[in-house]
Amino acid sequence: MTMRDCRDGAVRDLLPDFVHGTLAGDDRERVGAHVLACADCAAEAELLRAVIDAHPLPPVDVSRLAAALQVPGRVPSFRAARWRAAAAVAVVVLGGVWMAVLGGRVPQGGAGGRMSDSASSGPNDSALPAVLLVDGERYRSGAAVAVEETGFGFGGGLSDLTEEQLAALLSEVETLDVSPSVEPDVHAISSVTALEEGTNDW
Amino acid sequence: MGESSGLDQEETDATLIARWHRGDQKAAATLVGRHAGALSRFAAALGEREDADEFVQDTFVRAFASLDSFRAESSLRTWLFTILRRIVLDRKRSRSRRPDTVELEEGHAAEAFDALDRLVAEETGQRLRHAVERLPLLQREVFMLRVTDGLPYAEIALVVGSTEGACRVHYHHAMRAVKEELDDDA
Repeated sequence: MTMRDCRDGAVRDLLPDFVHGTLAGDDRERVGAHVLACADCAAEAELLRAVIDAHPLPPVDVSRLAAALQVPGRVPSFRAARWRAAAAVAVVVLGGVWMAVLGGRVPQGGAGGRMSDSASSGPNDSALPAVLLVDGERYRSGAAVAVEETGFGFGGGLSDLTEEQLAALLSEVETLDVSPSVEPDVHAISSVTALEEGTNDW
Repeated sequence: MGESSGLDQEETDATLIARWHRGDQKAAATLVGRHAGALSRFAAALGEREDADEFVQDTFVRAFASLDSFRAESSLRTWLFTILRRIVLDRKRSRSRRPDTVELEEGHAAEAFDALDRLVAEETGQRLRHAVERLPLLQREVFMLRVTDGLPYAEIALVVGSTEGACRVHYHHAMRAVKEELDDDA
Protein backbone atom coordinates (compact mmCIF):
# COMPACT_ATOMS: atom_id res chain seq x y z
CA MET A 1 0.00 0.00 0.00
CA THR A 2 1.40 3.39 -1.01
CA MET A 3 2.20 5.72 1.89
CA ARG A 4 0.39 8.97 1.25
CA ASP A 5 1.27 12.51 2.27
CA CYS A 6 -1.16 14.40 4.48
CA ARG A 7 -2.34 17.65 2.90
CA ASP A 8 -1.63 19.63 6.07
CA GLY A 9 1.90 20.75 5.25
CA ALA A 10 2.23 22.78 8.45
CA VAL A 11 1.66 19.68 10.58
CA ARG A 12 3.95 17.54 8.43
CA ASP A 13 6.66 20.16 8.88
CA LEU A 14 6.45 19.70 12.64
CA LEU A 15 6.35 15.89 12.72
CA PRO A 16 10.13 15.47 13.26
CA ASP A 17 9.95 17.88 16.22
CA PHE A 18 6.91 16.04 17.55
CA VAL A 19 8.76 12.72 17.33
CA HIS A 20 11.83 14.21 19.05
CA GLY A 21 9.62 15.61 21.81
CA THR A 22 10.83 19.16 21.28
CA LEU A 23 7.47 20.74 20.51
CA ALA A 24 6.06 22.84 23.29
CA GLY A 25 2.71 24.20 24.36
CA ASP A 26 0.01 24.67 21.73
CA ASP A 27 2.05 23.11 18.90
CA ARG A 28 2.54 19.90 20.83
CA GLU A 29 -1.15 19.59 21.60
CA ARG A 30 -2.28 20.52 18.09
CA VAL A 31 0.10 18.12 16.31
CA GLY A 32 -0.55 15.37 18.85
CA ALA A 33 -4.28 15.65 18.30
CA HIS A 34 -3.83 15.65 14.51
CA VAL A 35 -1.60 12.54 14.53
CA LEU A 36 -4.25 10.70 16.54
CA ALA A 37 -6.87 11.59 13.93
CA CYS A 38 -4.83 11.33 10.69
CA ALA A 39 -3.68 7.89 9.48
CA ASP A 40 -1.20 9.39 6.99
CA CYS A 41 0.51 11.51 9.66
CA ALA A 42 0.48 8.63 12.12
CA ALA A 43 2.22 6.45 9.51
CA GLU A 44 4.74 9.19 8.74
CA ALA A 45 5.49 9.71 12.44
CA GLU A 46 6.04 5.97 12.77
CA LEU A 47 8.34 6.06 9.73
CA LEU A 48 10.35 8.87 11.31
CA ARG A 49 10.79 6.85 14.52
CA ALA A 50 11.93 3.87 12.46
CA VAL A 51 14.51 5.99 10.59
CA ILE A 52 15.86 7.27 13.92
CA ASP A 53 16.06 3.71 15.30
CA ALA A 54 17.81 2.54 12.12
CA HIS A 55 20.54 5.17 12.59
CA PRO A 56 21.64 4.94 16.23
CA LEU A 57 24.51 7.04 17.54
CA PRO A 58 27.71 5.10 16.85
CA PRO A 59 30.10 4.45 19.77
CA VAL A 60 32.96 6.94 20.07
CA ASP A 61 36.22 6.96 22.03
CA VAL A 62 35.70 10.18 23.98
CA SER A 63 39.01 9.93 25.86
CA ARG A 64 41.02 9.66 22.67
CA LEU A 65 39.16 12.54 21.06
CA ALA A 66 39.48 14.80 24.11
CA ALA A 67 43.20 14.00 24.49
CA ALA A 68 43.87 15.42 21.03
CA LEU A 69 42.51 18.84 21.99
CA GLN A 70 44.83 21.74 22.84
CA VAL A 71 44.54 22.83 26.46
CA PRO A 72 44.03 26.57 26.75
CA GLY A 73 46.72 28.47 28.68
CA ARG A 74 49.69 26.59 27.23
CA VAL A 75 50.10 29.20 24.53
CA PRO A 76 52.33 32.11 25.61
CA SER A 77 50.05 34.70 27.11
CA PHE A 78 49.62 38.08 25.52
CA ARG A 79 50.42 39.69 28.88
CA ALA A 80 53.84 38.03 29.14
CA ALA A 81 54.65 38.89 25.53
CA ARG A 82 53.67 42.50 26.17
CA TRP A 83 56.00 42.75 29.20
CA ARG A 84 58.86 41.26 27.22
CA ALA A 85 58.30 43.69 24.37
CA ALA A 86 58.16 46.64 26.77
CA ALA A 87 61.37 45.56 28.50
CA ALA A 88 63.13 45.14 25.16
CA VAL A 89 62.06 48.61 24.04
CA ALA A 90 63.18 50.10 27.35
CA VAL A 91 66.63 48.59 27.02
CA VAL A 92 67.01 49.83 23.46
CA VAL A 93 65.86 53.34 24.40
CA LEU A 94 68.12 53.37 27.42
CA GLY A 95 71.05 52.35 25.30
CA GLY A 96 70.30 55.01 22.73
CA VAL A 97 69.99 57.77 25.33
CA TRP A 98 73.16 56.61 27.02
CA MET A 99 75.01 56.86 23.75
CA ALA A 100 73.59 60.32 23.19
CA VAL A 101 74.78 61.43 26.65
CA LEU A 102 78.28 60.18 26.03
CA GLY A 103 78.53 61.49 22.50
CA GLY A 104 81.25 64.08 22.08
CA ARG A 105 82.79 63.68 25.55
CA VAL A 106 86.43 62.53 25.81
CA PRO A 107 88.59 61.65 28.79
CA GLN A 108 90.29 64.67 30.47
CA GLY A 109 93.22 64.10 32.73
CA GLY A 110 92.80 64.86 36.43
CA ALA A 111 90.33 67.00 38.28
CA GLY A 112 89.19 70.28 36.85
CA GLY A 113 89.45 69.01 33.36
CA ARG A 114 87.17 70.36 30.81
CA MET A 115 84.80 68.58 28.65
CA SER A 116 85.72 68.23 25.06
CA ASP A 117 83.48 67.87 22.14
CA SER A 118 85.91 65.55 20.53
CA ALA A 119 84.68 62.09 20.32
CA SER A 120 87.96 60.70 19.14
CA SER A 121 88.56 58.84 22.33
CA GLY A 122 84.98 58.67 23.32
CA PRO A 123 83.09 55.53 23.86
CA ASN A 124 82.76 53.04 21.13
CA ASP A 125 79.50 53.94 19.48
CA SER A 126 78.67 50.36 18.95
CA ALA A 127 79.12 49.38 22.61
CA LEU A 128 76.99 50.19 25.59
CA PRO A 129 79.48 51.36 28.24
CA ALA A 130 79.13 49.50 31.49
CA VAL A 131 80.85 52.06 33.74
CA LEU A 132 81.24 55.82 33.68
CA LEU A 133 83.78 57.83 35.62
CA VAL A 134 82.18 61.10 36.65
CA ASP A 135 83.96 63.54 38.93
CA GLY A 136 86.15 60.82 40.23
CA GLU A 137 83.20 58.63 41.06
CA ARG A 138 82.52 55.45 39.22
CA TYR A 139 79.00 55.11 37.97
CA ARG A 140 77.65 51.96 36.51
CA SER A 141 75.33 52.22 33.54
CA GLY A 142 71.64 51.98 34.05
CA ALA A 143 71.45 48.52 32.57
CA ALA A 144 74.28 47.28 34.78
CA VAL A 145 72.61 48.79 37.87
CA ALA A 146 69.34 47.14 36.96
CA VAL A 147 71.10 43.84 36.55
CA GLU A 148 72.97 44.18 39.85
CA GLU A 149 70.07 45.38 41.98
CA THR A 150 67.44 43.04 40.68
CA GLY A 151 69.75 40.10 41.03
CA PHE A 152 69.62 38.66 37.54
CA GLY A 153 71.67 39.28 34.49
CA PHE A 154 71.29 39.43 30.82
CA GLY A 155 73.29 36.30 30.24
CA GLY A 156 70.22 34.78 28.64
CA GLY A 157 67.52 36.36 26.53
CA LEU A 158 64.59 38.37 27.85
CA SER A 159 62.35 35.41 27.13
CA ASP A 160 64.12 33.54 29.95
CA LEU A 161 62.75 35.96 32.50
CA THR A 162 59.50 35.42 34.37
CA GLU A 163 56.75 38.02 34.41
CA GLU A 164 57.74 39.11 37.90
CA GLN A 165 61.38 39.54 36.90
CA LEU A 166 60.42 41.53 33.84
CA ALA A 167 58.15 43.75 35.95
CA ALA A 168 60.96 44.37 38.45
CA LEU A 169 63.40 45.16 35.67
CA LEU A 170 60.99 47.57 34.10
CA SER A 171 60.47 49.31 37.46
CA GLU A 172 64.21 49.68 37.96
CA VAL A 173 64.70 51.02 34.47
CA GLU A 174 61.92 53.53 34.91
CA THR A 175 63.46 54.94 38.13
CA LEU A 176 66.85 55.65 36.57
CA ASP A 177 67.56 59.17 35.48
CA VAL A 178 69.00 58.62 32.07
CA SER A 179 68.11 61.94 30.59
CA PRO A 180 70.85 64.54 30.48
CA SER A 181 70.02 67.82 32.20
CA VAL A 182 69.21 70.68 29.91
CA GLU A 183 71.98 72.73 31.46
CA PRO A 184 74.93 70.40 32.03
CA ASP A 185 76.85 71.29 35.13
CA VAL A 186 80.36 71.55 33.72
CA HIS A 187 81.88 72.20 37.15
CA ALA A 188 80.54 69.01 38.67
CA ILE A 189 81.69 66.92 35.80
CA SER A 190 85.44 67.28 35.86
CA SER A 191 86.15 64.24 33.89
CA VAL A 192 84.04 61.72 32.19
CA THR A 193 85.69 58.55 31.22
CA ALA A 194 84.03 55.63 29.58
CA LEU A 195 85.60 52.46 30.79
CA GLU A 196 85.31 49.50 28.51
CA GLU A 197 86.34 46.05 29.26
CA GLY A 198 90.09 45.77 29.37
CA THR A 199 90.72 49.43 28.82
CA ASN A 200 90.12 50.95 32.23
CA ASP A 201 92.86 53.27 33.48
CA TRP A 202 92.04 53.80 37.13
CA MET B 1 14.28 10.69 22.03
CA GLY B 2 16.91 10.96 24.75
CA GLU B 3 18.56 14.21 23.63
CA SER B 4 18.03 17.40 25.62
CA SER B 5 16.13 20.35 24.21
CA GLY B 6 17.99 22.77 22.00
CA LEU B 7 17.73 25.74 24.34
CA ASP B 8 18.94 23.90 27.45
CA GLN B 9 21.77 22.30 25.51
CA GLU B 10 22.92 25.66 24.13
CA GLU B 11 23.11 27.20 27.57
CA THR B 12 25.00 24.23 28.95
CA ASP B 13 27.37 24.14 25.96
CA ALA B 14 28.18 27.79 26.59
CA THR B 15 28.98 27.07 30.23
CA LEU B 16 31.24 24.19 29.27
CA ILE B 17 33.03 26.32 26.68
CA ALA B 18 33.66 28.99 29.31
CA ARG B 19 35.06 26.36 31.70
CA TRP B 20 37.29 24.97 28.97
CA HIS B 21 38.66 28.45 28.31
CA ARG B 22 39.68 28.54 31.96
CA GLY B 23 41.63 25.30 31.49
CA ASP B 24 39.01 22.74 32.53
CA GLN B 25 39.90 19.73 30.38
CA LYS B 26 36.91 17.79 31.70
CA ALA B 27 34.64 20.37 30.11
CA ALA B 28 36.19 19.52 26.75
CA ALA B 29 35.60 15.80 27.34
CA THR B 30 31.95 16.51 28.21
CA LEU B 31 31.44 18.52 25.04
CA VAL B 32 33.09 15.79 22.99
CA GLY B 33 30.93 13.12 24.57
CA ARG B 34 27.81 15.15 23.93
CA HIS B 35 28.37 15.78 20.22
CA ALA B 36 30.75 13.10 18.89
CA GLY B 37 28.08 10.48 18.22
CA ALA B 38 25.92 12.84 16.19
CA LEU B 39 28.97 13.96 14.20
CA SER B 40 29.94 10.37 13.50
CA ARG B 41 26.42 9.57 12.34
CA PHE B 42 26.43 12.63 10.06
CA ALA B 43 29.80 11.63 8.61
CA ALA B 44 28.28 8.25 7.75
CA ALA B 45 25.32 10.00 6.14
CA LEU B 46 27.82 11.88 3.98
CA GLY B 47 29.17 8.55 2.78
CA GLU B 48 32.22 8.41 5.08
CA ARG B 49 31.25 5.64 7.46
CA GLU B 50 34.70 3.99 7.39
CA ASP B 51 36.65 7.18 8.13
CA ALA B 52 34.04 8.72 10.42
CA ASP B 53 36.33 8.59 13.49
CA GLU B 54 39.05 10.48 11.69
CA PHE B 55 36.64 13.16 10.47
CA VAL B 56 35.13 13.56 13.91
CA GLN B 57 38.57 14.01 15.47
CA ASP B 58 39.57 16.57 12.83
CA THR B 59 36.35 18.41 13.47
CA PHE B 60 36.92 18.70 17.21
CA VAL B 61 40.56 19.71 16.82
CA ARG B 62 39.65 22.51 14.42
CA ALA B 63 36.63 23.57 16.43
CA PHE B 64 38.47 23.81 19.74
CA ALA B 65 41.37 25.63 18.10
CA SER B 66 38.95 28.32 16.95
CA LEU B 67 36.32 28.35 19.68
CA ASP B 68 36.93 32.09 20.02
CA SER B 69 35.33 32.54 16.61
CA PHE B 70 32.15 30.66 17.61
CA ARG B 71 29.61 33.43 17.97
CA ALA B 72 26.68 31.27 19.18
CA GLU B 73 24.50 32.54 16.33
CA SER B 74 23.66 28.87 15.81
CA SER B 75 23.89 25.96 18.22
CA LEU B 76 27.32 24.49 18.90
CA ARG B 77 26.23 21.25 17.26
CA THR B 78 25.20 23.06 14.10
CA TRP B 79 28.61 24.74 14.01
CA LEU B 80 30.31 21.36 14.47
CA PHE B 81 28.20 19.84 11.68
CA THR B 82 29.25 22.71 9.41
CA ILE B 83 32.94 22.14 10.14
CA LEU B 84 32.67 18.40 9.62
CA ARG B 85 30.78 18.80 6.37
CA ARG B 86 33.45 21.17 5.06
CA ILE B 87 36.21 18.71 5.98
CA VAL B 88 34.43 15.81 4.30
CA LEU B 89 33.69 17.74 1.11
CA ASP B 90 37.31 18.99 0.94
CA ARG B 91 38.50 15.40 1.24
CA LYS B 92 36.09 14.28 -1.49
CA ARG B 93 37.34 17.06 -3.77
CA SER B 94 40.99 16.18 -3.20
CA ARG B 95 40.24 12.52 -3.88
CA SER B 96 38.55 13.42 -7.16
CA ARG B 97 41.72 15.24 -8.28
CA ARG B 98 43.87 12.14 -7.93
CA PRO B 99 43.80 10.31 -11.28
CA ASP B 100 44.70 6.96 -9.79
CA THR B 101 41.69 6.79 -7.49
CA VAL B 102 38.20 5.88 -8.53
CA GLU B 103 35.80 8.42 -7.18
CA LEU B 104 32.57 6.81 -6.11
CA GLU B 105 29.70 8.83 -7.47
CA GLU B 106 26.65 9.26 -5.34
CA GLY B 107 24.83 6.23 -6.64
CA HIS B 108 27.65 3.67 -6.86
CA ALA B 109 27.83 2.67 -3.21
CA ALA B 110 24.07 2.34 -3.06
CA GLU B 111 24.03 0.14 -6.19
CA ALA B 112 26.64 -2.16 -4.66
CA PHE B 113 24.56 -2.39 -1.54
CA ASP B 114 21.52 -3.02 -3.67
CA ALA B 115 23.09 -5.95 -5.53
CA LEU B 116 24.41 -7.65 -2.41
CA ASP B 117 21.80 -6.88 0.14
CA ARG B 118 18.41 -6.53 -1.55
CA LEU B 119 18.04 -10.31 -1.66
CA VAL B 120 18.54 -10.62 2.07
CA ALA B 121 17.27 -7.24 3.31
CA GLU B 122 14.17 -8.15 5.29
CA GLU B 123 14.44 -6.08 8.43
CA THR B 124 12.91 -2.61 8.40
CA GLY B 125 16.10 -1.03 9.65
CA GLN B 126 18.12 -2.39 6.75
CA ARG B 127 15.43 -1.33 4.28
CA LEU B 128 15.36 2.15 5.73
CA ARG B 129 19.14 2.55 5.68
CA HIS B 130 19.15 1.36 2.10
CA ALA B 131 16.41 3.83 1.18
CA VAL B 132 18.28 6.75 2.79
CA GLU B 133 21.60 5.78 1.19
CA ARG B 134 19.96 5.89 -2.25
CA LEU B 135 18.99 9.55 -1.78
CA PRO B 136 21.01 12.23 -3.61
CA LEU B 137 23.68 13.65 -1.29
CA LEU B 138 22.03 16.99 -0.46
CA GLN B 139 18.61 15.40 0.13
CA ARG B 140 20.27 12.78 2.32
CA GLU B 141 22.07 15.44 4.38
CA VAL B 142 18.93 17.50 4.92
CA PHE B 143 16.80 14.45 5.64
CA MET B 144 19.22 13.05 8.22
CA LEU B 145 19.81 16.38 9.95
CA ARG B 146 16.05 16.92 10.19
CA VAL B 147 14.98 13.42 11.14
CA THR B 148 17.80 11.95 13.26
CA ASP B 149 19.12 15.19 14.77
CA GLY B 150 15.90 17.23 14.84
CA LEU B 151 17.63 20.35 13.56
CA PRO B 152 15.30 23.18 12.51
CA TYR B 153 15.41 24.16 8.84
CA ALA B 154 17.19 27.43 9.62
CA GLU B 155 20.13 25.58 11.18
CA ILE B 156 20.15 22.92 8.45
CA ALA B 157 20.43 25.76 5.92
CA LEU B 158 23.55 27.02 7.76
CA VAL B 159 25.13 23.58 7.68
CA VAL B 160 24.55 22.84 4.00
CA GLY B 161 24.94 26.40 2.77
CA SER B 162 21.42 26.78 1.44
CA THR B 163 18.20 28.53 2.37
CA GLU B 164 15.49 27.51 4.78
CA GLY B 165 12.92 27.22 2.01
CA ALA B 166 15.18 25.09 -0.19
CA CYS B 167 15.95 22.79 2.74
CA ARG B 168 12.24 22.32 3.38
CA VAL B 169 11.78 21.30 -0.25
CA HIS B 170 14.76 18.90 -0.12
CA TYR B 171 13.31 17.28 3.01
CA HIS B 172 9.90 16.66 1.53
CA HIS B 173 11.39 15.28 -1.71
CA ALA B 174 13.55 12.96 0.39
CA MET B 175 10.58 11.82 2.45
CA ARG B 176 8.63 11.09 -0.74
CA ALA B 177 11.57 9.09 -2.17
CA VAL B 178 11.96 7.05 1.04
CA LYS B 179 8.24 6.25 1.09
CA GLU B 180 8.34 5.13 -2.54
CA GLU B 181 11.41 2.98 -1.86
CA LEU B 182 9.61 1.25 0.99
CA ASP B 183 6.51 0.82 -1.12
CA ASP B 184 8.61 -0.77 -3.88
CA ASP B 185 10.12 -3.17 -1.36
CA ALA B 186 6.77 -4.15 0.05
